[in-house]
Amino acid sequence: MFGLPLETSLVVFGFPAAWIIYTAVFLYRSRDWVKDSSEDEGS
Amino acid sequence: MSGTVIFFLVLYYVIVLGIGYWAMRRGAGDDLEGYLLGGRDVGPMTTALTLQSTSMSGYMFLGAGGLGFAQGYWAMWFAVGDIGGGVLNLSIIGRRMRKLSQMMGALTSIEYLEKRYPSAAVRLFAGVLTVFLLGFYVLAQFIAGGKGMALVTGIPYPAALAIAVGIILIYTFMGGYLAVAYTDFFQSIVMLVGVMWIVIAALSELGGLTAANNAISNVDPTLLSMWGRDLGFQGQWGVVAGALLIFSVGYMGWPHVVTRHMAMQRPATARRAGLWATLWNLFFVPAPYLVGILAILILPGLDDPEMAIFRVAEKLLPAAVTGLVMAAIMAAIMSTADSLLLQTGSIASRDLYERFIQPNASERQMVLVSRGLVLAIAIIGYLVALVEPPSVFSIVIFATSVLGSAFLPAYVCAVWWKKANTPGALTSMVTGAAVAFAWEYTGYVESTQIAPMLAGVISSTTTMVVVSLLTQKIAPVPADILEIMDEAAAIGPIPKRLLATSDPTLAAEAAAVQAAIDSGAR
Amino acid sequence: MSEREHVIIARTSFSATDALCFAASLTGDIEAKVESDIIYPYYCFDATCSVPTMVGRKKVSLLCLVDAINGLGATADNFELKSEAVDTKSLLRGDMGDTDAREIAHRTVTHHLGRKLRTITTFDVSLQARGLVHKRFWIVQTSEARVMVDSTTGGFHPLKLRAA
Repeated sequence: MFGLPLETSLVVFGFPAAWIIYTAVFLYRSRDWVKDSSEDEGS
Repeated sequence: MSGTVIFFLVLYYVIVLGIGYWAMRRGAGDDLEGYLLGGRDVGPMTTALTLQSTSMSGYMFLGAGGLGFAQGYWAMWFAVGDIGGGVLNLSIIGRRMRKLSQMMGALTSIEYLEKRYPSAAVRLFAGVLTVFLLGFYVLAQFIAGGKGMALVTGIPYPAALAIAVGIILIYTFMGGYLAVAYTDFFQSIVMLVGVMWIVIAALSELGGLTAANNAISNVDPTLLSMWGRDLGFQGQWGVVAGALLIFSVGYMGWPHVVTRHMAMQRPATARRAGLWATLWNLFFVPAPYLVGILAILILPGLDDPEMAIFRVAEKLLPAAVTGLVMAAIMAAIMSTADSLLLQTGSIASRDLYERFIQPNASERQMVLVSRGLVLAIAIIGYLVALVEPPSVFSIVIFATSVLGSAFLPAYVCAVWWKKANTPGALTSMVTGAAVAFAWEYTGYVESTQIAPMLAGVISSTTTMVVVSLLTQKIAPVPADILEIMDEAAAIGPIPKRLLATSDPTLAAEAAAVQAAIDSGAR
Repeated sequence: MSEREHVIIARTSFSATDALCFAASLTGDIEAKVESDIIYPYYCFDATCSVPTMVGRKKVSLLCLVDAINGLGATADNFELKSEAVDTKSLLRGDMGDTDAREIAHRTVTHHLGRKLRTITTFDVSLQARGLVHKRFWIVQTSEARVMVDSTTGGFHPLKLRAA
């Protein structure tokens, strides 16, 4: 990919892809964290 | 550097000061108090941009670029770890630390360690180690600022360095108003555009990424491998692991990063910050390394690899844009240095001076101690940066390795492991720091092919576990802390959704109310 | 006949009914009920400070509350206070003295300003004690959990279920 050896492509694209997945999982598992704006009057 | 560049550089600072002034005037006092009360979010995107732009510093522009130029795609090991550092930190430590620190009444991340692992030794060691290592990180910013200033203005390095250090000191001693959220936002936008411009300009100069990689392959095909120039790091998995860990988990040892968790206003902010962190990092983390790699072709005769990014900008960008971008970069570097010096000053005055030397210290005395230390760091830093400046890369990797090794288990176990006790924490901090330090300065990296970061983290984690378990009977975690940890983890038959949307700032009151109800007081 | 005591208390913006509706909607429990209220004590201080700005030093006032039970300090928005007679059974008392509270308030304000303004300088904080003030929390019992609702902000926090 982009003229890079296979090994390099795997690392350079593989890890970021893994982080995207991790972030998506985090967002999914914390989906309840989103508050209604109505009671969101913080101190 | 041409007059146009300098003109636009100055123009940038005029604009920043102007925005700061406008923001002050517009509020006419009310806004200042509102701003100080601190409960107000300035909006998720501004928050996110501010969070991320504070991670841009001398390392990004000098260290990363330099490594890319010197070792090719090997540098990407550091990048791919770094991309996830933000979300990893937030998801592992984030909310729980917020609650725990709130309930224990800790104001600083060092105080937090003492409260969780009660012992003066914890505070002393953590405080001294952090001050020492933050000093190194500041040194890195000085070097970056000095070299950048010298390049842009044409002033010789010693004078440029003095100017950079001087501006940083002014920022730190007086500059509160320059740190208004609005100016951070403007700065982030300029840097965003600037970095993108540099990357796009570099790629189009070389005819695209594929063409560039092919050209690099003609220069030296090993630069395209993941093992560095001449395959120098081939098979060294211990070093690779270190590279991956350093900016993914190494950040958890940085007080100014960890402190952000303590200040988090509401869980939703953390969630959004996690998303923005990853999105931002996907582009901005690899970008400087990539520009460094492309500089192999654009600036083949480059003598100082760490100047790769600045020189690419100078060569490819129109003078005006170079001026603005350089100004934004310098501002980012100085802002990072300012944050670090503030941390250092605060730890010195509150965690060391007030805690151990003068418990009844007045405000004036604390300020004197803070400023005194900052000045000392500035002078020592200036001299080192002048006489024998190490590479920004080596300084930051060293400091992060030691801090990360020392504090990672302490901060993670503080919220996750109820058996993590004081002896465990203290010995793990000392071991982690000592091992990482020793690994760096002896020949162990070469002989074992294990990076200091990896060796350090393994030793500190092992020590934490082993010592905590061995000393459970003689030094158990105090009951009130266990209770607070339960509260922070919210153990009990309470629905997750309820917990997740609750107001973390009420945690302490809730505990007191609970206690009152339980004791039948009402 | 329950005993009553006069205390200074923050104006209740969220009534018992508001708290009930809110908790009920949160848990989907239409059988939710307001069990009681808790009157929580804080030491209140008016802090006057001098902060650096582009046009010299500016005087600002902040309110600082120190939790009289936990000793935790926090800066706060201004709120309306009034004297009210409350049931002593609902009233919580802290054992913190006001000297300690003053120290905590001073530390809280100084730390807060330093962090917000990102500068190392003196703020000449002077504190005017307003004494003890109180905040009412509604305790709402639902089938899933017991929550306390802050009557001034509407923020809530769960409490453990009553042991059977």
